[in-house]
Amino acid sequence: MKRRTLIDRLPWALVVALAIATALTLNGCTGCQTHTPAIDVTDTGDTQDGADGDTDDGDTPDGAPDGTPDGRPDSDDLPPIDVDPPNVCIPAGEGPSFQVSARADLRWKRVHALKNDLLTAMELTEAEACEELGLALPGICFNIVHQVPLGGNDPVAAAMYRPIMEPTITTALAIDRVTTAACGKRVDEDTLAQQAGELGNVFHHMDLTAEAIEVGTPGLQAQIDELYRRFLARSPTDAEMQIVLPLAAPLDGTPVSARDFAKAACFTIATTTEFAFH
Amino acid sequence: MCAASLLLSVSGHAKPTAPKAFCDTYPDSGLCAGTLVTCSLCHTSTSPTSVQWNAFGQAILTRRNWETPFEQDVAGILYSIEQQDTDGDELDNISEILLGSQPGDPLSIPHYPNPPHGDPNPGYNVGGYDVLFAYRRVSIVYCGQSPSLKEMNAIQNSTDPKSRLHDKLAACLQSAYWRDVVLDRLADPAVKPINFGTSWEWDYRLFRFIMSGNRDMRELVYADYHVREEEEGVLTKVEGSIPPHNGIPCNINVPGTCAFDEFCRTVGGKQNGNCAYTAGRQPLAPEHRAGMLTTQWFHFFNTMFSALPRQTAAQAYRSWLDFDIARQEGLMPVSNEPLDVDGKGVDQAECAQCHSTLDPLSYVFASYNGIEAGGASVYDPSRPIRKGLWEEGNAPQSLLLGQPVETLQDWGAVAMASDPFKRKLALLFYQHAIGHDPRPEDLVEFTALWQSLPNDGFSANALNHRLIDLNAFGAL
Repeated sequence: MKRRTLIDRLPWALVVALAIATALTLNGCTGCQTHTPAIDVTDTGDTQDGADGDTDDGDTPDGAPDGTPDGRPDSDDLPPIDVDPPNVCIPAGEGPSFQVSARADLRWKRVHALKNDLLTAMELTEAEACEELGLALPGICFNIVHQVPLGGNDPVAAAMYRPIMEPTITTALAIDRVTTAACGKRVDEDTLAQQAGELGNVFHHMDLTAEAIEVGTPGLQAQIDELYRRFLARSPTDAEMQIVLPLAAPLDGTPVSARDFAKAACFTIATTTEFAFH
Repeated sequence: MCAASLLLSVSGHAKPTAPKAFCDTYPDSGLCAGTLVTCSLCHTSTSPTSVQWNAFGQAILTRRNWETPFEQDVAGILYSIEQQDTDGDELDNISEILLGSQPGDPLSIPHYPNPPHGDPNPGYNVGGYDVLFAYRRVSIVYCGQSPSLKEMNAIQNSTDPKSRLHDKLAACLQSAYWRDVVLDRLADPAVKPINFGTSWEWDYRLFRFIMSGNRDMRELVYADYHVREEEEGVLTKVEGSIPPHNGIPCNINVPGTCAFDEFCRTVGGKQNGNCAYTAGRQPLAPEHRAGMLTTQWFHFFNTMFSALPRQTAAQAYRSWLDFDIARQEGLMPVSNEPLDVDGKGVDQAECAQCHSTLDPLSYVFASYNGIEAGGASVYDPSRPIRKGLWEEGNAPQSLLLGQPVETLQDWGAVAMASDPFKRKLALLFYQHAIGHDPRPEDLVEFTALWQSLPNDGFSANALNHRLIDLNAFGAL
C-alpha cells in the first residue's frame, strides 16, 4: 500500500481553504476578515522601486498571534442565513450571515504583481525562486516559461501584443509551480540557516529540523500568522488557523516533519484566491 | 420555410451605413457614446451572401419598405420596435439601446448588483466604495505589488483614507513599474514590435513620455518631437530634426557613430558598451510629424511594400479611435468609394463594405515611404504618383470620421478632437485597471470618465485619479 504523504493531503486542505477563501474573497476580498490593526512585523510589502514611499523599519513579530484584536465576533463562526444566492459564485443557502458583495468582480493578479508579491513574501530573488529548469537557467519562470499563463505577454520575441484576458487552465498549474518553488526554496534556505545556528528569514517561529511535529507544537500558530501577514497583509481568522494547523497532524500514523509542514502551509496560503486575485 | 425564404431574400441587404444610421437615430445610446455600433447589432458576418441575422435585425428587416432608401427608412423602423423585447431578455429594445446593451442578444443585459442583505460585513464596506479594498487594488494595478501590512494599517488608521489612496496612486504613477512595464505593455498593440532591430523603441519612448507626467495625451497623434532615453528612466524630448549620423555609417561598436546610443532597454542589451541594435533614426522633418502616426517603425512595419498604405491607416484607426475595421467597427462609408486606386479589386461588393471607409482613410498615408528606396517614413508628396495611385493634381479626397483631411497632421487633429479618441484613451486605462471592458451597468460612469478628459488637460495621470474613484474600481 502506497504510503500517504503530506502532499496527498494538500488537495483536501486546499479545497477547503480555497472554497472558504473564494467565498470570502468574492464577497469583499477578505470577507469575514477585518483590516487588521497594526502589529509590527517585517514589512513584506516594500515595492522594489520605492514607489510605495515606505521605508521599512524592519520590525519583527514578537510571537504568537493575538486572535481577533478588534474585539468583534469571528464571523466565520456565524451560521449561514441567506436564501437567495448573494452573488454568482455562492450557491443559494451557502453564504454567510453577513453582507457580501453582489458584484463578485475580482481582478487577476498578473505575472508582475504575482512575482513581486511572492518574492517579497519569501525574501527571494527571481534567480533563487526560479530554479525548476536547473541551475543553468535560473530566473526564467516568470518572464519566459510561465509568462503567458501567468497573465504576461512578450511582444518582441513572441509577437504577442496582448496578454490573455482571463486565467486559463494552465494558469492554476503555473501558479502551483512558482509557488511550490518559492515556498520550497525559502524552507530550504531557512533550514540551512537554522542548522548553522542562525535565524531563518521567514520560518523562524518553528524548528525546521524537527523530524516530527504535531498540531500543538510550539511556534506553529505564530508561523502561520507570519505567513498570512506576509502573503495577505493580515492575520488569519480562527477558522483559517484551524484549516492550516491540521497539516501538522500525523498522517496515517506517520508524523509530519517540520519542513513538510512549512512547505504545505506556505503553499496553502499562497494559493488562496485572496492572494491570486484582487 | 418562410424563415429560410426571408433570410435568402434579404441576404444581400446588410448595410455598412447602418451603424452610423443607428447612432444618428440614437445619439444618446450607451452603444453609441464615443463610438459606433457594429454590424453585429443586427447580424454577424461581413459577407453580403452569408449574413446571419439576430432577432433585432430580423425585426428591422420584416418592416423594411424596399421602395425607400435604407438610410431614410431605418429611423422609423427603429422607433416602431422600441417597445418590443426582440431578444426576449425581459428588457424592451429602447431600454437596452439607451442603457447600452444589445437588443438582439439575450445575454447582453445590464446586471445591477442586488442590495446587500444580512449583518454588516465585519471587514468591508459591502454595497459601497471601500477605500481599503481600493488601496490594495491601486497598489497591485499601478505599483505592481500588494501593499504591506504596515501600509494597510496606516491607511486604516488614517483620518483621510481617500487622500492617502490618491497619494498612493500618485507615487505609483511615478514608479519605474508604471513607466517602464505597464506603459510599455499598454503600447504593445499600437506599436507591434518584432525582433527586427529596435527602431520601435522610438515609439515606446514617445508613448511613455506622453502618457506620464501630466502631459497632454492628444500629442500621441500630434507631437512634432521625439523622445530619447540615454539614462534609464530619464525621458527627454528631442525637438527639431534628427541628424542621420552626420554621414558616418552607424556602427554599434563605435560610440558616437549612431545618431543616438539609447539606453538598451530591450532586445540584446549592451554589447561592447553599446546597444546590440541601433535604435534607427527618425528621418521626418518636424513639420511632417504627427506623433505615433509618423514614426519610422510605424510606416516600416505597417506600410511595408504596399503602394496605398491601407494597413497603416487601419492600424491608426484601430489604435487611436478603437475602430477595428476587420471587426466591422467604425464603418462610415463614403459615397463613390472605394475608388480602387491601385486596382486591387476592393470595389467588389464583399470588399466595398469596409473599403468604402478604409480607402479614404488611407490616401494621406501614401506620401510616406514604406520599405523602399530612400528609407521608411521619408515624406515624399510625389510618391503616390510614382506608385501610380493617381495623377498629379488629381488626388482623391481623404476623409476621417466624415471630415476632409489633407495631411497626416490633419488626420491627427481630427482624431484628437473626436469622442472616439477620448473614449479610446479612457478605455486603455480602464481595461488595465478594471480588467475588462465597461459593462452596460457601468457605462454611465465610464462615459463621464472619458468626457472629463478636456477638463483635465487630457492628462493620463488625472484620468487614472478619476478612474480609481469609480464604483467599478472600488465598490463591492
